[in-house]
Amino acid sequence: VQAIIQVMIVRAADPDRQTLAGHMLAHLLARAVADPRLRASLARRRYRAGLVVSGMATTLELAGDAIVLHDGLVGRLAATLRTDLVTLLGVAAGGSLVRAWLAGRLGVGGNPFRLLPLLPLLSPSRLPEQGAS
Amino acid sequence: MMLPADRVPLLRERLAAIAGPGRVLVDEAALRPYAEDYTELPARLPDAVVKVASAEQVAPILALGVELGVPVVPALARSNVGGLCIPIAGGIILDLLGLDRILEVHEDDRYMVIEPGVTWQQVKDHLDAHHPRLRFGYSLSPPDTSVLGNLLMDGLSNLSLRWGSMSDWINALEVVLPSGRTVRTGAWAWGQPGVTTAPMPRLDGLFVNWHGTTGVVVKAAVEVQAQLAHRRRCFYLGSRIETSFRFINALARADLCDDAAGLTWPLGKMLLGEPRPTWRSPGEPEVIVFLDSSADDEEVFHAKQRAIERVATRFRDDGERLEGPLPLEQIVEIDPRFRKLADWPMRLDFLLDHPGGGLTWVGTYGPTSRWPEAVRACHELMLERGFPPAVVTRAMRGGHFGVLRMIALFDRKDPAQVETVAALNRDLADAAFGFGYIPYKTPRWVVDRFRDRLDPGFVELLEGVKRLVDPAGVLNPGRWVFDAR
Repeated sequence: VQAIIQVMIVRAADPDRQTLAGHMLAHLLARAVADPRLRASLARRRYRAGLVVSGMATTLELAGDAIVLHDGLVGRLAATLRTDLVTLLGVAAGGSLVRAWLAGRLGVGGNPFRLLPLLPLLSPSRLPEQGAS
Repeated sequence: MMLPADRVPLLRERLAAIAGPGRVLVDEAALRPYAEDYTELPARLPDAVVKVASAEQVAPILALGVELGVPVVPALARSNVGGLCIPIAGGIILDLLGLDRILEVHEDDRYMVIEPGVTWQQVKDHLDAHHPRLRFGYSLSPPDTSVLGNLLMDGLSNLSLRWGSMSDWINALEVVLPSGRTVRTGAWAWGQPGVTTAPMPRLDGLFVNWHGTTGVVVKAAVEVQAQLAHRRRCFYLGSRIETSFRFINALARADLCDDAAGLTWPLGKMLLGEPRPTWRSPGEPEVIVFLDSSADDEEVFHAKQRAIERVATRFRDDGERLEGPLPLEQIVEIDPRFRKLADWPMRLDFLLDHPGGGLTWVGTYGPTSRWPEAVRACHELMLERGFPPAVVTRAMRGGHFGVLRMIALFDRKDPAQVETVAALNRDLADAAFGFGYIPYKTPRWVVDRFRDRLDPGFVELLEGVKRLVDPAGVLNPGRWVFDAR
């Protein structure tokens, strides 16, 4: 798959209906798919996951050669992650995911294993800059 | 006052004799950029542009304007978003950008002496390189625009919460009058260092907010502030307009921040590349609160951060949603596009570099107590006309007053959009005025719209002062209540 998927598109289902968090998530995903290994990992998945950050809900539809972002929780979700921006920033800055979960600041619904391929998004310093490939 | 066409060559010849032929622009292509600004206001070509090379050239050019009865419009970067440098009666544009020296910086007395063409970036680079113990306040203007232009039009900066609007930073001015006389105000009137306007009669006020109609400022002594060792910029997300502005007011009263501003949600999305956001999810914050705080002492700095958070906690305890603090450096980690908010001066390219090229606003100062209802009303007006409800607010001088500024982007080449945005601005000005706000960098259309509200004694004095200092009426005609014959 890594050899086949050269380009993965990250797009909004409706560009006029994106939340602030959705915009930031789209940017993180665009950075993530610039990494061949992450791209390959995401390209293998075909399901939807929900991310609710500070009340702003986004559905990530992993669709092979594209990741489509929907405003709100849309369709059948394999898993959902709920948190707030303060926690998200703390984790992104190297804070413990587990500690945030134990403190009740991060909730997981559905099948948590379906969220694992998305966890690199929470470590943006390890992602390539956008435009890299 | 328009110059007859047959006298234009004479004007250009005389200007060239004063400034040198290479410094006088006469071709239409060269004049065109001086005919307009970002706004929807109509363009008008000047008869000539003279790029001033020294302060000594200003008096003879003004004398020439008086002699020939030709308007003289002082101009810098022409980015004031009020059409204030459009030569609505033609004449000479006095381009002062070439007077761009930082003449003095006094670390101990914390002031600098600058010429009118000095830019924000120039000040930043100069202080960083040579005077790291000092800092300046920066506006949201592009980095290559004039500092002094902003000061003379009472603009605002990222330190305005502590030190007021930018005219409050002026200690002394050197001004050339239309008579050719040079006058010095503040401590300079006594020939003393330019550390203060007090205890002198505030004659500097004759040149502040007069939009270049009374004299040409060629030099100014301006306050700079001490650079403090610790500083933090962070955001809070306010779920509701009302919560957010009560929070900003509470912080201003508590004297904890250098800057406390509120940006409505479309501005966040525009920063992230959405050109015309008019949709908001119910879960999204309505206002992004932007805070800057600093202290020299580390303990004081951390105590301030804790105190800010305690204020936020009080709001949360009352059931309000106020999320933060979100330190800017952490947000930049997630999304480097926020880096453009990380340091001053900043270029907000999403406002300037868009296909239509038009930028306009109704910018006002007024009571912070009326923010919530004023912002709500302006929001509705902007959405009704299909514009993103992009509103910037900022607490000024300890929160004694505040900024309320509604920003609209449009396509300058589309007459229908130009008309729509002009109508929107009229509606916004009416609304803001109704809540007690006064437009700053006041465009003429605003003066005409609210003329009957101006105190007659004020108008009489304004006209009397103008007649006294500029009896021929050559300086930037058509501003305030002055004729544009």
